[in-house]
This record gives sequence, structure tokens and C-alpha cells, in this order.
Amino acid sequence: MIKSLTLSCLFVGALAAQEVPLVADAPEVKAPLSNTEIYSSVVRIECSTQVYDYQSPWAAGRFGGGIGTGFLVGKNKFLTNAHVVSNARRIIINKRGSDIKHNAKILHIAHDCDLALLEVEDFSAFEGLPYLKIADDVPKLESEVKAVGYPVGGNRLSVTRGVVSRIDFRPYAHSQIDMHLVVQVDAAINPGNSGGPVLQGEEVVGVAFQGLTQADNTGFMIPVPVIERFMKDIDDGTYDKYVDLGANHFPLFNPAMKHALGLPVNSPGVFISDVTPQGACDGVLQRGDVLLEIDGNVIDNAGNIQVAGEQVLMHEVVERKFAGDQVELTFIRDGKKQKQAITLVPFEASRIFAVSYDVKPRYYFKAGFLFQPLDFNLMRVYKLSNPAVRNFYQNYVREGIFNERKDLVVLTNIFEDEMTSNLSGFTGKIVKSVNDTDIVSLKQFHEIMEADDLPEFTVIRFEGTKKPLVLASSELQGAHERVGKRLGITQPANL
Amino acid sequence: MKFYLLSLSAVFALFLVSCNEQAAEPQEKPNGFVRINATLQGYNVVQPWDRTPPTTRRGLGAVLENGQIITSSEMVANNVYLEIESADGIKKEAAQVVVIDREANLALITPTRDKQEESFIDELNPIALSELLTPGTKVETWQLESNGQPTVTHTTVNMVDILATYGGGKGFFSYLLKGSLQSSSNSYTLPVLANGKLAGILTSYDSDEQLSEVVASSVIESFLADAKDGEYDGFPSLGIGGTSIKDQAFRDWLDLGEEDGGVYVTTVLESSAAKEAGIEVGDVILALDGKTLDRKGYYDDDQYGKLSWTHLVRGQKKVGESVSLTVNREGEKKEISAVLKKAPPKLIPNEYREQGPKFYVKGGVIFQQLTKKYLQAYGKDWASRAPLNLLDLHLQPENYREKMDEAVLLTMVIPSQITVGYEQVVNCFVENVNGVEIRKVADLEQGFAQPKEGIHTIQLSEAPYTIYLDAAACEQVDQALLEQGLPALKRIYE
Repeated sequence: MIKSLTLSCLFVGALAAQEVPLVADAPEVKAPLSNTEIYSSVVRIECSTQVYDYQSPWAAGRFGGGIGTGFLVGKNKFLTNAHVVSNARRIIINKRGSDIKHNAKILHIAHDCDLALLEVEDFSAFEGLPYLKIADDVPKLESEVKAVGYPVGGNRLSVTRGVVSRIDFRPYAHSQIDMHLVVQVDAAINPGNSGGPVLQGEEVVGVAFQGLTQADNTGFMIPVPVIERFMKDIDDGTYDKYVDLGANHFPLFNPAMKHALGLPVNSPGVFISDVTPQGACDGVLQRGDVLLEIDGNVIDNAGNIQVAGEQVLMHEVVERKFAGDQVELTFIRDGKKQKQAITLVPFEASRIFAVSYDVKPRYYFKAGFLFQPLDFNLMRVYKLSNPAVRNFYQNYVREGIFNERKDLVVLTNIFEDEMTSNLSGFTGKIVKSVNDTDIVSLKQFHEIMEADDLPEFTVIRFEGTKKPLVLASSELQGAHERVGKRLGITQPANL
Repeated sequence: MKFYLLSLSAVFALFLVSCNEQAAEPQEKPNGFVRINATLQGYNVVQPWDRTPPTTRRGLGAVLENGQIITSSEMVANNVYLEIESADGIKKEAAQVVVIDREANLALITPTRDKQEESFIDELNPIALSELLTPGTKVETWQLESNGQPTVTHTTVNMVDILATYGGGKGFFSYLLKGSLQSSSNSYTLPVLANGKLAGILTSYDSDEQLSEVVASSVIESFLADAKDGEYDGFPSLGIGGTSIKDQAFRDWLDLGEEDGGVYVTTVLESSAAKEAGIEVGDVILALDGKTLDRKGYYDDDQYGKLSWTHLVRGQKKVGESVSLTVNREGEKKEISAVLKKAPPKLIPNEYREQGPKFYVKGGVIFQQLTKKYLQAYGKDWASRAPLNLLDLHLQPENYREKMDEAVLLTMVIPSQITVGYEQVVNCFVENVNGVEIRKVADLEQGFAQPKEGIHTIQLSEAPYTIYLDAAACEQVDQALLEQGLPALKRIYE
């Protein structure tokens, strides 16, 4: 299990101890920074959170908090992990060696790559501190690094050392679905280190962000390409998110498969098995194509390309691009080689598979029934196991269900009332239709249910279930008031 | 937790004495009980050509007036060797299954009389079937000691119910007996007597609740009557699935009267009696053969009170007979007559039949018919842990009927040089092979007989959707598999 390291600490350490304790008077000074100077730019972040409760979405939820690390990367710009400041109600930044709490707020937050940029209300206390420089590239395997931060075990800055153990493409625990480049180090990285810099010399080679619960001496950091991409993405004032190729591939090792596709035995390329409807490749690639090259990089039969002598997944090309950028694909269809450029776009529909933060859950409460749109949080909280629901969830993007249905509305709970006492077998299922109108979003569902002219019976049908839920429309209001009062629901809907 | 093991061994001398007195006096011939020893072997789910390690099961059977022996299907299903043994353990003879019904959990067996005409069971006193019992009736559950002496446990019929005692999930008229039974070693299937007649076959015992389930004599009687002509039809089925209707708004919407009960039809199986009679999803069955159903789907039995409506079909009718139904369809009452049939085969059968699971091997790629047994191999939580595409088929078979008669699944790829790259292809339905639509396992044979330009093209339901195999290399790989000990490359039967 990968877990996020939520305590974080902010210390910038210069490399080795300096002989000359030159006090930097401005960030522009080119002389090497002392460890003390570097550490002074690593700050402790204290975040108070409010996490909404999906089981009573009308309520305030659970209040909590955590500690993380951040570091100064520019004038009033503190870089940290998104998970350090997710669901934040109040963010406080502590400068090293000072007990003054500086109120801070989020400038940009990128849940898909677990990075965030903060600013303090009043930067004057931080004036003169060096801005830590982001290195140019991924550190070399086995090269030495140190992690600086405010992890568990004490209140003051901690520095740990290690080497780069592995460079890999792995899931980011914060959102659960996004995969990017990660660098594994054997320096101790513990809860609280999150958001802190991992340094080589005076340069930042990564942001510490997650560990592994089943292994020792493994810490993970977000490497330079991901940090740089984030910084570049927000340059224009908004974070546009990662873009996605929108195509799945199958390795093309089998000689008979190659033969059948008209390829020589030693041909490179992968077999395209699925193209996401309305994704970047929709209309360009199709199932059965063999993808040979991406932006001129030859794709091997497993889906890897060579970048600077390293074997990386072909997605790495897309990883470094932005919304609106183009990628050139070379592929074979019906034995003919083709070349076509696609324009990359972020793919909102696939966020249904990601953990969502900072957003008050949407819901609709009516007459003892609680309806909520299906997403990762809902699946997890309610442990939805109905195969029909899981099928819809799994195929939501792949089969283009999102085109017709903005939301999959799930009946998540039936609260006890005289009207609902004989109803069972409906919870945890997706609403298919109400009075024969197909339900495509929570908003539309709400409109139908709240209409003044409901027929005598309101008939709700569910996916995968033959028996409909039938309600006497005239009784809805009474039940709504009874149950709402009992549960203390003041706001019956958040659409 | 259900307990199927009941002890044979004598523990209580007191019992023995009292039984001796009881059993010795009135009978000239020994009682019509035999021991049954079965060696059972199931099939490996992953490698369907392999059988699981043999297990032995010992139980009892009762010799009936027709000279055959009745026992539970559980006792003999998947047997590779069956023998009967005299109560005292002295005589043993090979035996064979005449008829088996897994839903009713009954089997009829007979000594194999190839070599010798006579059998020791000819010397036994056959047991007649008892009339149906009512709750409160005293019954005797019989077990045998190693010396042939019976151990009799006296209990009473606690209640009657329509129970699915084993496997199939179909309910049959059963007794629940309350009382403790010895429960230790290998003994399945105990005869239960009332007044010296066979009241039923005890098929399970719950030691916590001290409750035994007994398939009643009436079910045995129907089973025997059906088997008599040598052609076993099975118990009749209407072929619907339904739910009770207690919710008032739902009842009002259906336009049901206050006094109406009924079963709301949620499923009508393809080619079932109900389908042919024109019953539709959404109908409410108000009455069967004049017996009105209450809101929970019970009717009032003259003798036994509330019983599930299914008993009116499975417990009271034969295949070919008709049943009259009063149905509410959109507020109007209709009279429908349905000619009962054997339950149509399920798209995903609970188990493979006695012949074993159907499979086919080509080039080290294993194809099998999907059964519930296969799903259950995913463990106790199979209903949530098994692959989603398989669960979907299991839960909504009607969505797949058009495409298949059997669910043909690619279950495994044995690694070889020709399956490189396919190692992770698993649990995909096979739709087409070399242009031949695959509706059942047997179609694979035809499909694979016609490769195009030396290549087999296999279309699957999941990514990568199509795989290809070199036809000539397939033959070599399969030949090698046979040489390495695979007993056969297919098991196909009708």
C-alpha cells in the first residue's frame, strides 16, 4: 500500500556544510547557499481540514488536521503536496525557528499530480530567504539525496540522507488513478515529510510525497519533470490538468498476431485495443490499429520508448505535454502506414475514478431517500458491490456512458419512515428512469422529482433490477418533512 | 453452519440395548437398510481434465419395494466407484446410479448385476413409503453400528417447509426435525422412519440448532413415479422468478385489491412453461389452480397451512400437466393456463453434469463452459470477487441469451512459444472462431477446423478482443501437451 505522507516539513538544506557562512542577502546571490540558508526556506505547514461525510452529505463533516512541509520557490510561492492542503479550512505556515503563524492560502492545487502552490497573506517575514532552485532533470540512479522536512518524531526540522534507488512510473496515492514518473529513494521519508524538498546540492530534485507501508527504506518523491510541468501549466494563471491519450494498448509479442496484422516478426508497435470515445485519439485511432511511433519515438512491443537512453512508457511523451498540444502518431491500419497528429485534451469524465477533494459532495435528499452521483468516493464510502453498479462504473468511460449520462445517480440510503418501511432491495443501485424518463444527471433527476405535476405514482426504475420503486406522489412531502426533521436536514440538495 | 456428517459409530451402549429390543422382535428379515460407500472425485476448476483427489463418503440407503435403493444425490454425485454393503459389513457389491436429481437431492441406485444375478439386498425387507406427516409426529432417524445393529434416534417433526436442501436452490417439501444426533464420522443420508415406513431422507443436520432437514416421502414418491418408465423428466417448473409485494404504494400502482396477495413476476425464463403461456415480467400471479397467494407468496395448504406457492407446481404436478393461473396484468385479471415443463437449462448451470465440465484445448489455450462452480472457485465472496463480466452474465443471463446457448470462456493460456504475449488473457467470452459463431463449446471444434491461411482467429469479449494462433504450431503444442500427460484435448457432449 502506498500512503501519503501527510506531515511535512520545510527546510532547505544546502549541500555539505559550508566553510564560509555567507549569509545570503538576496535570492539572486550566486554564491553557494549554506545549509542554514537552504533550510530557512523550508517551512512547516499546518493545515486544518474539514472532510465531508458522504453518508450524511448535508452535515458539516469531520474536522481534523495535519502537518506537512513546503518550500519557497519564488516570491511568495511555497510549493508543497496537494494532499497536505486538501480539504483545507485554514492553512498556517511556520518559518523555521519562529513561532509566528502566517496565514496562507492555496494559489494552485493539482490533485492529479499531488502538487500545490501556496502564498502567505504577508510575505514580509520571508523576504530575503533564498528561493530553492528546481534541478534540470531526474537525478541519476544511486546518486545521493537528502530529504528535508518536518516529519513525525519531533517539532523541529529533520534531514535524512539516502540514494536514488529506482526511477519508475507509478500510481500517485493521492488521487488513486493518476500515474506519473516517481523516484524512489532510500532516505527515511515519513509522515510529515510530505511536500518537503529532496535535495542534491542546493537544487531540488524532488518533492517527498509518499511511502510504502509494506517495505522499509522506500520513500517516493515527485521528480523534476512533474514539478516543472505543474509550474509551467499554472504559468497562465490556471491549472489545466494532465492530458490523456485516451487509448489502451495490448502488447504485441505474438508472432501469429503480427503475421495476421501483416507485420514482419521484428516489427515494433503495440496493438490498440480500446479508444476512449471523445478522447484525444477518438476518430484517429481505432481498435485493431498498430501504433508504431509517438512523436517520432519508436514504440516497442511492450509499449515502451527510449528517452535519453532510458526505457520509459510511451505515455511519458504525453505526460510532458499540455492541453492543446499536439502529438504525432504513426500507426498501421489494414497494412498501410499512416501518420496523424492529435490534439491532447484533459479528460474530465475519467475523474469519476479519482478521489475527489475540496468539493462538497453533491446529493439529493427526498422523502427519506438519499440520492448521490457515483464516483470514487461514493464507491469507497458505501462499499458499493452490486455488479450492475460496478459494471457501469468500470465502463463509464470505456463505453462512452458519460456521453449520455453526466451522472450515474445512486440511491445510497433509505431512511426509516412509515412510507419507506416496506421497501428493500433498492439501495446501492443506479437510477435508470423516473416515470419512464431516463435519468442523465442529478440535476435533471432533481427537476423531475420536484416538479409540481408529478403523476399519482412516481415510478423509479433501477439498473439491473426488474421491480420498480413506486411511491405515492402525494405522500412524498409528508415523509420528506418527517424524515428531514428527524435527521436535521436543513439543505435537502446540493446539486 | 450445516453439518452433513453423521456418525456411524456406536457410543452409547444404552441406546444400543434399547434399540436391540425394539428392532429384534417384529421382523423376520433384516431391515431394508444398506450402507453405501462412494468414492467421489470432482473436477479441477482450472484444469478441467484433472480430477480432484478422491474422497470417500459413507452413508445409508433404503431398499424400496421396487428393489432399488434410495439415497441422496449428494451421496453419489461425481462418484467414480460405488458399492453397497450389508448392514453388518460382511457383504459388499458394486452398485450403479439409476437416476439422480440434484435439485431434489435424491438418487436411486441398484446393485450392478452383470456378473451375478443375485444380490444380498434381495434378502432384505423392503421399506414402504410413509404417508405425509404432520408437525408433532414422532419419527426415528436410523443409523447403523459397525456390527450391523441400528441406532435409532427418536425426534419429532418440528415443522414442514419448502426447502432447498442442496445445490439447486429449488424448494421441495421437507420436514425439520428437532433433536440432537450423534455427529462425528462419515455418514451421509440417513433414513427417517415413521411407524416402520420411510418418512424421508435426512440430508443435513445443524448441530448448533439441533435441526435436521429431511426430504419428505412425497418428493421421493414423485421421483420414483417419474423414474419408473426409465425416462426421467425431472420436476416440473413454471420458469418464473418473482418477489413478494408488501409495499402499499406498489400495490396501489399495480391496482391490486386489498384482499389480493400475489407474486410480482421479475423474470420469465426463455423457453419455460411461463414464457410459452404468455406470462410477462410485471404480471402479478394472484392464484394457482384456484389457491390464492398472499402478499408473501404463500398459499393456504389444507393440511399444512402456509406454504410457498412453488409447492403447488413442484410438489403437486408432473411435467406435461397444466396449471391454471390467475394473473393481474395492468389492473386486469386474466386466466392463463400453462403446460409445465422441466426447468429450462440455465445459461450458467450450477454444476457440470456427471460427464464433467465441458472443455476444449487449442494450442494450449483452454476454453471451458462457465458454470456456477467455476464462479464459486473465487472463494466464499465469489459473488463480489469473481470477474465482473462473468458476474454480469450470471445475474442477467437474459441479456446474453441471443448470443449463446452456453457461456464459452477462455479460462487459461498454457504458456508456450505460440502463446507469447497472451499470458494475461483470461476470463473472456469467446464469440467467434475463424468466422464461426460460438454459441456452445461444441462449436469450437467446427471453428478451429477451418483456419484461414494457417492462422486461427479468435474473437473475445474483452481486450485485446482478437487473438491469433498459428494453426500448424497449435497442433504441435497440443500433441506435446498430450505427451506430457494431458488425457484429452476436449470434453464435449450434448
